[in-house]
Amino acid sequence: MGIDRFEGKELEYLQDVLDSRHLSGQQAGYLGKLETAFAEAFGAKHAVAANSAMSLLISACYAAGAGAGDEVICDPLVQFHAIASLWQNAHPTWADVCEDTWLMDPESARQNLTPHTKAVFATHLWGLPAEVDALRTLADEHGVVLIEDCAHAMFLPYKEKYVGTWGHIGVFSFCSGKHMTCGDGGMALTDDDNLANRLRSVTCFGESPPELATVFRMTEMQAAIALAQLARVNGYLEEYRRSYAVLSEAIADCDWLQPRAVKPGCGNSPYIFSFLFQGERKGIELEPFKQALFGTGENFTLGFTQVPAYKYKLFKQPMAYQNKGCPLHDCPYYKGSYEYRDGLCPNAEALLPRLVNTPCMISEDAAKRVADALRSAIEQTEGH
Amino acid sequence: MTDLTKLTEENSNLILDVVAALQPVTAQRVLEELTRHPGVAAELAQLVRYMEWLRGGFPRKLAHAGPDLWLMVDLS
Repeated sequence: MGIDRFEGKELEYLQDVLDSRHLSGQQAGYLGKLETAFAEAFGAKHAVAANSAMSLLISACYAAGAGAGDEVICDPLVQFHAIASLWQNAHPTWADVCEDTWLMDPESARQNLTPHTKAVFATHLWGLPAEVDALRTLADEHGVVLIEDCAHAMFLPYKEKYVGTWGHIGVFSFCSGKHMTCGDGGMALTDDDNLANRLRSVTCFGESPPELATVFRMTEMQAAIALAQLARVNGYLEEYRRSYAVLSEAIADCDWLQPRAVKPGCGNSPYIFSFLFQGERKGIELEPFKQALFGTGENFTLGFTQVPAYKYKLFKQPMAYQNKGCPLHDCPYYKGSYEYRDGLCPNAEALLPRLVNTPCMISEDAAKRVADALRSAIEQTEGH
Repeated sequence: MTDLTKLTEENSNLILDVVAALQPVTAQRVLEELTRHPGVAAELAQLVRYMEWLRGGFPRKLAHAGPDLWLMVDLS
């Protein structure tokens, strides 16, 4: 996927941790330094680190107050948020994405709000920002918590500030292949003192925890590497933006490949370069394009996951909780009537099989090679 | 000789069948199984690229099931 780059002070900081002989639980060590630096870099009041972004999505769902009988609105293009909801016994529901940006449609989120809704997860998928201003307004109007999934959205501007600071909670990922990495790890941002306290209490407990908690603690080694990465990630992003432009140019003149819309006020933290096959509009068949793309030998994929997450067996069948039925079927606490039916999110269902993806956390030279391969596949398909 | 640099229904079905029979399974294990089939030869990197492509398949597709572990998912 991406390129994990360690060109800064990673080794120096790691040696420092080893020399200290305190490898975890050091709020005054690299963990504390990382949280402070991260919060300052994004202009947030609190930053809470954990061993993975997934741990923080689960914790954020808890901090939002979602539990048995509650609903959480999720993004249908990815599965992470619904899994986080299930870990809190909450019922995942789904808002559709916009047909041109593939990001959560605030109007669809509004239509899916019910008296049972406790939280909304919005993804800044593959490095472009969702409409988090509208989603935050919606969340505040209805007293629910907006959780931004910023796994692909490091230092991603949306209007006047970075994503991750628009919602009540923003969750970043440092797993391998992300914009910055420490092997695995994550960071949650919030300006809300209560949410920060809840995130801290659930991610690391003491001897008599006041609420059900676990240990999602980030180690000092992870924090040391992440702190070194944080200092350099903006430079990497600049290079990836140039690579994104090179790839965009490759499809600019093709009238049967639809680029992803970037709306005014939206920045880009390139993660995956993605576009839609719309060949039917021009009498171009999918199969020859598929063969041509595959034949380039470059790292393209077509169809992503093919179907929205709500069609996965995990969510359609009562597989969680030892098949007791909760929280999706026959849960005594759930008073809603949400059904996982085909056509739930028509935009998501229509675009997923047509998605063509290729990594764009690559050097500009590599992007030129991939762009040439893409042009070649287009020419080959048109000549078919 | 089966060539995994070519995207064919035969190659795809063979890999999907092998994964379905052994899942969750590593790509290395899939490769070992493929080499038992006459006329199939591939390198691991080539196979992994092919398997990544099959994540977008329909109605049968591959899915990641953990670090270098694969599942076959039937969406029909």
